[in-house]
Amino acid sequence: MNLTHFNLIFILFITVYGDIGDPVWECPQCGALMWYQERKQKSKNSSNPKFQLCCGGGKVQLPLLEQPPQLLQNLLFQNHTKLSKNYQANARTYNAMFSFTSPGMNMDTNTNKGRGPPNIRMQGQTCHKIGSMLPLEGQRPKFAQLYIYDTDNEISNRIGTFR
Amino acid sequence: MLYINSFIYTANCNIFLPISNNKDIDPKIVKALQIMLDTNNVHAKAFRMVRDILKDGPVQDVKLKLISERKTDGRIYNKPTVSEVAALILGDIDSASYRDIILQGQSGNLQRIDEFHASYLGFQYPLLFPYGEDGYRPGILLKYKDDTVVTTRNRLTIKCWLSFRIQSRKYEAMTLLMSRRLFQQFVVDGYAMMESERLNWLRKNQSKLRVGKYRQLNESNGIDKQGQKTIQGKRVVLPSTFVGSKRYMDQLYFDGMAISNVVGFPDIFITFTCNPNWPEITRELGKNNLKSQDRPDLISRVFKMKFDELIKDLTKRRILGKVLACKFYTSTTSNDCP
Repeated sequence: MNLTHFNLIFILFITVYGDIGDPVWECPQCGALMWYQERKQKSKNSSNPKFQLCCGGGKVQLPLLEQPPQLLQNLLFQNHTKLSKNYQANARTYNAMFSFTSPGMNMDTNTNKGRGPPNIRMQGQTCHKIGSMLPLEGQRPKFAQLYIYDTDNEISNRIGTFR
Repeated sequence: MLYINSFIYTANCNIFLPISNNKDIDPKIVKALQIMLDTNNVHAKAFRMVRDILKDGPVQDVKLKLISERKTDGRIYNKPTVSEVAALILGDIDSASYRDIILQGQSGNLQRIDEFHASYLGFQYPLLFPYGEDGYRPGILLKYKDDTVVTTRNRLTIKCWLSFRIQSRKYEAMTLLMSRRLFQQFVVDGYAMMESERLNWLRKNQSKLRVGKYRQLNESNGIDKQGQKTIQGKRVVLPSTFVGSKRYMDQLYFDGMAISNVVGFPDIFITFTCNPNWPEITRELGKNNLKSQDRPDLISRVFKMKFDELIKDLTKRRILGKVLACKFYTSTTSNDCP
């Protein structure tokens, strides 16, 4: 390969960006929005492509998710209000407050030292655990117990689990 | 032998460790969410039922059974009723499936929930499944046919369930996909479920995998001079078909060496990384005001398509000349980008 040949390729690379477009194709079976490049038979061009990734070519049929309650819709899909911004930034904390089970796993705490994006590293089998209906004497209610025990002060109890 | 290494990208909060700063938590949202769950979520309703019974004073020998089996068809209904998810029992338990959870009144014990419990994900993610919808459950068919027996061929697997669930559809609510960091946690948890299903299969089918050879070798290693066994437990051998196992990596290496043997040493080594600012990704995220770390599924799909395009450019379109052989391996870094 001579130098001019190489230059030509280089110029082609920087001038033509191979945009793959948007996911505008609906899977005929389940209605999932897919990219044309994700079709089943990639060697053939087709005007009504079929897809494998979403429902296995129509093999999987499951009920679709319903719209969440109005409050959750506001919190999730609005971008401007103070409350929805707060919820979107702390979605995991809010979920952990209301979850019925506690996730049990071996955490590697050495990974978040230093710079770089913080991440969670776990080893071993994960499991979700659930306790008894009421807390032991002198202990604060946790997870599902929050729904049963001392519900007069429930809000502060829920927030208190993260304090 | 069980390893699940998973990474979740988080900016500042980590639910598995106690969260120290909760300045951001708004009691107004907590209150509103609590009312929302009390009126909509079946699990919350079930636990409130227990509260109403225990309110008048301690009741002897009361237990709560969290039912795993459902009578309704799993492909058509996933919104259970309170009587389907939980039952309050006074006295002895007459019948319980082995996946059902029996909650005692007051004890410090923690019980493990089976991954195939229908409410496994519903319990952990009340804000992703606000009505307490059922998650994956085993033993259901891919789609409904009369009088068909569930076999290994037409059975719904966790992978099928998850990949169906995380798609965006015009007529489906975007609850999962818009939940941002909670969605990442859901994806990692789902992957752990999938991998543990696979590992369970491997553990139960060791004889089919013909691991006798390896095991004998290992057992002779574990016997000391007096003929006593020094290593306790049963060894489970992961075959080369299990992605990420030692034998899998070994096989990749051996394949690479065999190719080099035939066609010579490699001429070019390309590292192809994903850029979260690719216009395809930013366009798609911009519609919903998300950040790239909020949609790990989208990023890996775009990466796969781009990567296929690169391989096609090199092998079919031959822009760098004729390719004798090529070999690739994809790995994920800690911040979600392949």
